[in-house]
Amino acid sequence: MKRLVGVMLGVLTAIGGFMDIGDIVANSATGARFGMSLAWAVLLGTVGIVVYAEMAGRVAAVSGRPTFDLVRERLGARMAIVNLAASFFINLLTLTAEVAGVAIALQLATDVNYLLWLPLTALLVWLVIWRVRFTLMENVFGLMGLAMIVMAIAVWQLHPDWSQLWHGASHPVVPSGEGHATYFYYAIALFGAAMTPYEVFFFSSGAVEEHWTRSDLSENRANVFIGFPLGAFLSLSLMALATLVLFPRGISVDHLSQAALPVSLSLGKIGLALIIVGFFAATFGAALETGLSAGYTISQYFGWQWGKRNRPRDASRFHLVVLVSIGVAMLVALTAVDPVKVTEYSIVLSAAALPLTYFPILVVANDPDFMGDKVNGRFGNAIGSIYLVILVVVSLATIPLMIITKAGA
Amino acid sequence: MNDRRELLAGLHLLDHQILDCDGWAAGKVDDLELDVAADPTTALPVVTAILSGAGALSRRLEGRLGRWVESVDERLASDRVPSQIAFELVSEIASHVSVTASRDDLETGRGERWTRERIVGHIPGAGHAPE
Amino acid sequence: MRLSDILGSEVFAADGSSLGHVRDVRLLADGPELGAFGPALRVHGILVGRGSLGARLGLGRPEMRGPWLLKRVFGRRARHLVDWGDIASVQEGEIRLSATASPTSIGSPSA
Repeated sequence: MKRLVGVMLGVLTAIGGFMDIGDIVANSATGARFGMSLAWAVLLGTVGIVVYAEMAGRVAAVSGRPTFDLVRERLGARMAIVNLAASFFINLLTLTAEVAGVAIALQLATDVNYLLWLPLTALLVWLVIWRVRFTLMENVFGLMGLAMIVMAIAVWQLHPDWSQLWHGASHPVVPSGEGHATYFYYAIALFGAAMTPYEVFFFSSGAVEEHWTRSDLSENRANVFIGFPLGAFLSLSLMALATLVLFPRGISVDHLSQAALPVSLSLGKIGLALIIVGFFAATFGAALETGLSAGYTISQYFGWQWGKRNRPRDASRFHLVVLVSIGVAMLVALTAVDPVKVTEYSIVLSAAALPLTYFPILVVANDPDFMGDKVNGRFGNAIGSIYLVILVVVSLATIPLMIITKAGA
Repeated sequence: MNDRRELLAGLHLLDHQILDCDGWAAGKVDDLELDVAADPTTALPVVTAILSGAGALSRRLEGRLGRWVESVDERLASDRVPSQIAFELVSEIASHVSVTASRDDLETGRGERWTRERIVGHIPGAGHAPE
Repeated sequence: MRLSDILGSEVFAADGSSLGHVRDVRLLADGPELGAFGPALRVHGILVGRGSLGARLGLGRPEMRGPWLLKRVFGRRARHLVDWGDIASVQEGEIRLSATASPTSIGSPSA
């Protein structure tokens, strides 16, 4: 049990990162349109986030410095503020979508319109950040999020033709009727969702909040190697469900309830109840993650005291940024914008900003002034460099693909 | 004290985190004040103060954004702009720059103080660490 | 004067030819005593070269052993070390050297 609790930072980061409202819908939508033929994009992103989250966590544990602190120091004031503006804007978009996502999960459970749930949702998110200890927050939402394992059970209950699913994933072809540009647009969306920058902002800051030190490096690895693959496993389960249930029927996904449909079809009411709990935990977790990241990024850029390990009055500018961000997110969500569209845009836009975040992590993880003997090994550097090239290619391709495909339409 | 006798200003000082005597974050090293006349015998400029805060940062951002930030800071500030930390107060230059004063006693602490006293301190629960 | 007035400035020799931009500023702790800090830091020289991001990343230092790719792209070292005494004027983002200036070419630099 202690072991399990020890990896909850990674689990919450990954569930919030992989299974936020946009990912839930994006995974279902891709499964429904492309079958398993885009599973590779999830795996590619997972290896990337594992490699870089491990570095970010190690740097945080050894030097006590979270990611955006490094971004500022290594990129300098000007380049870092470009990154800050982009990251903060994207993060705010995601926060907006998550606050709406929690409210939609509540609507699924209660049949009360989500717009009515929004103010309460925003208040709850803020209260958790304001009053609940970091580890408690992590354990509660991490464990609740594990309810989503019901998706894997649902796949198994459908008695699928495993070899056919595997063949679809291992021999990716663009399905007839879909263009190559659209196919790669969705590939970028899945890749970007796996590597969203707020995951490393949150994970590395969380490591500092939990007072990790050099002696916690094995905990860092356990968090990364259990948390993120678990997130990927859930993503792929959701994709498989959509492939099995929605793809043959030609149902397209643009709402959270449609993503839950295959689970209730497979496991009935209990399955539906569990998946709603899982959706609630995942979207709430992502709301906490992005709400905190709003404060983390700005505070770490300007060098303000940050974090929820102290009395709020001792980190007042940090808490003010969090409060205002949640308030703005709620107001935007109240205009009834489609939260799924909002996250889709935020994921794709964040793909364009990825190199600016991951580049400084790779540099500092090699700097003996910070890391002593805990610098990257050759293998880590080789994979890190390959991914940096992939990130640059992805960031250059993102916006043109978005325009060509009219955002995947 | 600094561990090294020789430092590179950009690599070892600029944009580094400042910590106060209690370990609280107290801003970034946004710029350094160099006094050309302080040591007339050799005419080598002496580093006399750390500049920190929006007023110092804006000069480095340049362009329209920088000018806007600078003018806002000048309007909001009641005392000297940009805020300074005299180099006498610096106790260590490592991956952080540590100073011997408390953040509330520094010029650079006014933004945090203002936010605490005017806004965040008034919200119930602000004085207790999360449970 | 501020550090930012020097960093990034273009450096010109007395004959008007450009040597590149200021990539970093070399400080030595050998000035007058400054309270608890000890001897004040003084500006002894500037590192001049092409490209600006490289110096900040610290990738050119020998103790940075990787990653190979980044060292190749961003690890270019500053070319010249100019003593402060060789600087004739600093203004408006331009630094002019005196006619007697003799910038040291750097073989194994620290930036």
